[in-house]
Amino acid sequence: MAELSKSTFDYPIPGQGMTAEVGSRPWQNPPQYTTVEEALEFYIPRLVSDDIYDSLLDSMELGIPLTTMADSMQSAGVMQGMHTIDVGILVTPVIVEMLAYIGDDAGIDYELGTEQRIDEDKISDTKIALALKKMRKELPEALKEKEEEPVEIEETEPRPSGLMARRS
Amino acid sequence: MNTNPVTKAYTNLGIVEDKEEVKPVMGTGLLSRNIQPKDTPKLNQPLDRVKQYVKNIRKARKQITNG
Repeated sequence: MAELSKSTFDYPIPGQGMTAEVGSRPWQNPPQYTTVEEALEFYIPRLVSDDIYDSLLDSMELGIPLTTMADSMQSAGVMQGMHTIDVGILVTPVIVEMLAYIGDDAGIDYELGTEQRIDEDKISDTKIALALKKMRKELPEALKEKEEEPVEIEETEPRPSGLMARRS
Repeated sequence: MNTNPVTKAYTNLGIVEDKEEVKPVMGTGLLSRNIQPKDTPKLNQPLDRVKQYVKNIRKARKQITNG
């Protein structure tokens, strides 16, 4: 109980996020790079630098989509006040392509993140409907008639359950 | 469905694969029309420039994967 109450109160107070002074956050200040070219000049050398290169390849091998990687990069750039969200979104296709280039160069089978995943185990509704239609056609006539025969339901009178009810 | 904005940006770039340019056959006679290549409009919008960058990197990628 004590742990629960501690964790319940261990959150920011509602509205706390708005208590910081305007301009105290990096993204509230004018961005460092205002054009696409400037932002690319910041990103491209970092992608190829030795300290990031290996971890990039590891992430690709782990199967993290390149679009996700590019998105997290540009989000971090926005949070650090490097560029605006607009410039970040504009720059991301180039980052994705550059990541793909790095992956191709290293011979890694990466996931781009633009492909629609098709679940092979999941059967589509149209296929199920088609199979049912085929089955209905293939059913022998006799079986069909049998199916169509109404099943007689024996009607039973409800038994009186009172104390004074007669026993049969 | 919550899609990654980067996926949208990447897939909606609308890059058309370059086809080999067919050069117009120009007559060499005196009366032949001098076909001047039309001035292509300069693309200077950020999105156009991004498209160009992506095209260039894609070309380089193709060179790697094919050879």
